[in-house]
Amino acid sequence: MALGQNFARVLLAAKTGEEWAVSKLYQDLSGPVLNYLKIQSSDEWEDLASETWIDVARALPRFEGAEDDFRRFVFAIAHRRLIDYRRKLRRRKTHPVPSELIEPYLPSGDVEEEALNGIARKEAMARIRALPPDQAEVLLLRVFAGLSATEVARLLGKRPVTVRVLQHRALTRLAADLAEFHVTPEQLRAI
Amino acid sequence: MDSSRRRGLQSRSSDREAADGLLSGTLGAQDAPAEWRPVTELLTVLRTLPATTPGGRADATGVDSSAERGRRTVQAMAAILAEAPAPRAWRRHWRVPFRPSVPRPLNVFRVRLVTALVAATLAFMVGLASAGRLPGPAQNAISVALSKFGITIPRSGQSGQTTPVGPILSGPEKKGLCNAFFAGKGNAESGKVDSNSVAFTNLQNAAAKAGQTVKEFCADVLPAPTPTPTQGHQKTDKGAKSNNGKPGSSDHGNGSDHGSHGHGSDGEGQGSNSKGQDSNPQGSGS
Repeated sequence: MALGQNFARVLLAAKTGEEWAVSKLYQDLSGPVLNYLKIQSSDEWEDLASETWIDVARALPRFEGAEDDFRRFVFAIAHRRLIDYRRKLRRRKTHPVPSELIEPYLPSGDVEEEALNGIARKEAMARIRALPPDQAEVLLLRVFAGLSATEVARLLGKRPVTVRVLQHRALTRLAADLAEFHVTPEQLRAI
Repeated sequence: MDSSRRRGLQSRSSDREAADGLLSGTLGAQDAPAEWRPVTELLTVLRTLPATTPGGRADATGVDSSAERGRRTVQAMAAILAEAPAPRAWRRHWRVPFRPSVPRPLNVFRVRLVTALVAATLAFMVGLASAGRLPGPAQNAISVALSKFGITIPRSGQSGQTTPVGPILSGPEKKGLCNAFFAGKGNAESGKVDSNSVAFTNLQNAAAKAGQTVKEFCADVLPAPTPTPTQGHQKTDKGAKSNNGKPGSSDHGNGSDHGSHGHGSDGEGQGSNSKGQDSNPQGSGS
């Protein structure tokens, strides 16, 4: 749901604190940001997403650019929130229960729909989570943020060649992983 | 480079291009290598993940918690933006300055590297200071700082050499030094050879360098060895005593001794002669 031509007008309104404009920007990217954070942090991803958007609001008055630039801007902040989260996790002595273990006990909506949608989602997330962190990071930034290899390299502080090698390894590993579990394209498509 | 290796590199390069195309969406599932077909499907699943909060559901009160959370986030953002000061454009708009709320973990290697660098710099500075090669204020500062720890570093303007040098033996100091060396309690022959004095050591070294003893080295500046009158006098006394004790012993020996010594012993020689003269009548008397 890209804003296209309206982006400049929405951005201008959002900078002055218009709630409808802020809401448009949020709705445009909240899903990819949430998925990006959820795959890489099994818990607290909702808090991380909220913190990311609050940081976006703080930095937005100084932002200038097109819609693609805004996408990169938001994912740069999300990436840095994630780094913060990982450092915090390393210092913390407790190990919170992953949200996946609690979800089945929560009140549910449409069980059948959730089951159908959830299998593909969980399968995809599980495969990505099985990757080494740097490979997963590159893959997710390319898929969800739509960044080029050069832009991902700049964001992660790596060389573009390194990013290309990492993404190639990630895809090769994913292919081997899917072959090992005998997951065919048809099965994934059917889900 | 052999052909198989070249082929391997080429295929790896084309694989990387294919991976780049798959991730950027320019390469379709049909165009992807066969072994990567499941991966393209997986990427499609990832791209089509719902834009709403996954797993969002109504809570016990019937309110969708994820929608509520989103609404509150938007309200908070709008409040922040409404209170924000006048904007200032960034040069690199999407590069956000990173201010981590959690401090960066200490890297042991970096800590060691920094410590080693600091130690090396300090050692280098102290080395320069001890050689007196630092600029004035820095030299003074290090000198004062290290003097607190009992380390002596010359201050700016001082010579870097702190050990005593001693007088130069080519000048008039030589005479004074030679006199001092053989004077006092020193051995008359070898001087104060056991002294710790730098000046005396220099003197001995200079003499050794000239292939002489110190006495020979000093011979040109010290007064010529005089006939020691005290010795003659003692002998005369002894002679007198012996003369007194043993009448009839020869006086000529003493007389010839005195004759062999110079003019300076004339007076005493006369005295002894007079004794000898006195003794002659005794001898002649006997």
